[in-house]
Amino acid sequence: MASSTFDTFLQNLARVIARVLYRSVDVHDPDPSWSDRPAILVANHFGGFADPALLIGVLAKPPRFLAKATLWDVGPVGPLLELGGAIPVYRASDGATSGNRDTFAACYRALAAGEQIALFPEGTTHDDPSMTRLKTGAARIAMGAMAAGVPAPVVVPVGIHYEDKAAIRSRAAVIVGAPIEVSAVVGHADPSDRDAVHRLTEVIDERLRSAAPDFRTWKEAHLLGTAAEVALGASSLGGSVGYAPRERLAGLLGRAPEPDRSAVSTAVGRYLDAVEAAGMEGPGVRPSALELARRAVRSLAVTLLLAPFALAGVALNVVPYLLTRLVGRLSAPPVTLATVKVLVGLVAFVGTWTFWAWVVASRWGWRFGSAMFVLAPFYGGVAIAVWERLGAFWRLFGSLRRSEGGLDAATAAGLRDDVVRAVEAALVAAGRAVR
Amino acid sequence: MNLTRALVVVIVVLPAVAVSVVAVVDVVRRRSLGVGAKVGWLAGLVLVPGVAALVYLASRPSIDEPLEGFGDAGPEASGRLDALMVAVERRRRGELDAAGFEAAVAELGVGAPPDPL
Repeated sequence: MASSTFDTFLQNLARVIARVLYRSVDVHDPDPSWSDRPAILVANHFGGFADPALLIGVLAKPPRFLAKATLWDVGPVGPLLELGGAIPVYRASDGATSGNRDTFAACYRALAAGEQIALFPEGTTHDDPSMTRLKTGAARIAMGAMAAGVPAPVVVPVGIHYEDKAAIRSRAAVIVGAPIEVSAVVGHADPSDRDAVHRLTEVIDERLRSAAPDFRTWKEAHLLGTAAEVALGASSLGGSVGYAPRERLAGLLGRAPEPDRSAVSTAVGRYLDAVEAAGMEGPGVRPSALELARRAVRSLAVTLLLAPFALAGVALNVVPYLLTRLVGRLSAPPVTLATVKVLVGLVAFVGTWTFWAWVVASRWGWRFGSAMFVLAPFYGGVAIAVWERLGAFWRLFGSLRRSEGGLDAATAAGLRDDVVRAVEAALVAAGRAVR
Repeated sequence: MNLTRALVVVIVVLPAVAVSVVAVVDVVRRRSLGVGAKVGWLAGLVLVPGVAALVYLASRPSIDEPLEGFGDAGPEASGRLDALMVAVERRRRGELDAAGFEAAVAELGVGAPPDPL
């Protein structure tokens, strides 16, 4: 079993890595009361190793993950899983499943001890825009735990959303759905009751699809996501709207019946066409020269003030940053790149900070070495912030230079209002479509 | 004032004051920050001058204000959308029946009434 000290270390490490690799990790958990209860977390599995790493970073306490038993045979991964308290699952596709009796027993023990367990009920990681068919393991563990005397276990659906699985500094969101009271769905049915297991699995499937990305195509995901962003008030695409509200709204729009769903796609398509026709990127409105100058001065002032720290951050972090960025350009499926990105980032950044700490400690002592281990990621964060600020300003300036007039504010606002109206109508239709 | 002290003032104190002033002005003017977040940041900027300003400016999104003349959707519109999202989510979870959902929609003043047929 993992020690609480190791849990804390693991969680802090996951948080630092998440801050480096993602521009933002937005969490939506409207009812966090489940975090004090024996809970079985079920999550979609679109990001390989990035999924558990992200969950460890954002959850109140790290859960014990169920992982396929074959991972214990992969070099140093086995001892790491053991340290993190992971529980092996023996899949039929990998051979004998007799060891799963121990797996279930380990889950019941963990839940009875007040721990939480987490699993990916799709059973495999993938690059589809919607979840694959869920396996029944989560329902059987929940019902078995109740039969074993664990008081009132809940199943908590967790949706993990990535803006771009391969890119460094993209956005991510974790959306926690409404917890499922196991006894309210199946009473105190025995886990050998197949009908009850399937009934609970259906409820888990429905709740998890509501929290996770679940679209027909990637094009639909993109259009509805953009519509959500525009409707929620973004004046720059990819800008100020939180990624979790964007994904929540996009998911609900995906539930709207036709023709309301298509009406949203049409309205946002018109908005995007107008933005593109005007030669703009991001914001669809041309700011006044005065406002552009104001932003330029502000960006320049902040950049100059932070420059010494940013330069130190670049010097200390440029090697692992470039290494992680290069990984994203490899020719491989996005889900593979998501895994490799986290692993390379973890090793490269932590290794580099350790190296600098060792260099400083060997010269000025361990206190200065420890300070360097803390300052290296901090200055790296300052460097990234300055770089992204300049990049955003440069993109705005460049798109303005290319455009011949841009969209006037009234036209852009009119197109945006059309998107808002279509989104509201689709939401109402989605609510009315529930039977 | 000796040379060392003068250098500390020029290299550390003045930039720290400048960064703090920029951060305070930005916090006060930023429309995307709630009252609680503004109070929290201002307290941090006062209690830990310099360092808190660095943290604030480093963590601040680069461009998050609506462009002049465009405006944002407005608190009324985004609040209505948020309330509508919650109503649909509750309806999907079975916490609202059809009549309750229609009442929520009517209260928000969104969309046309359902087709009686």
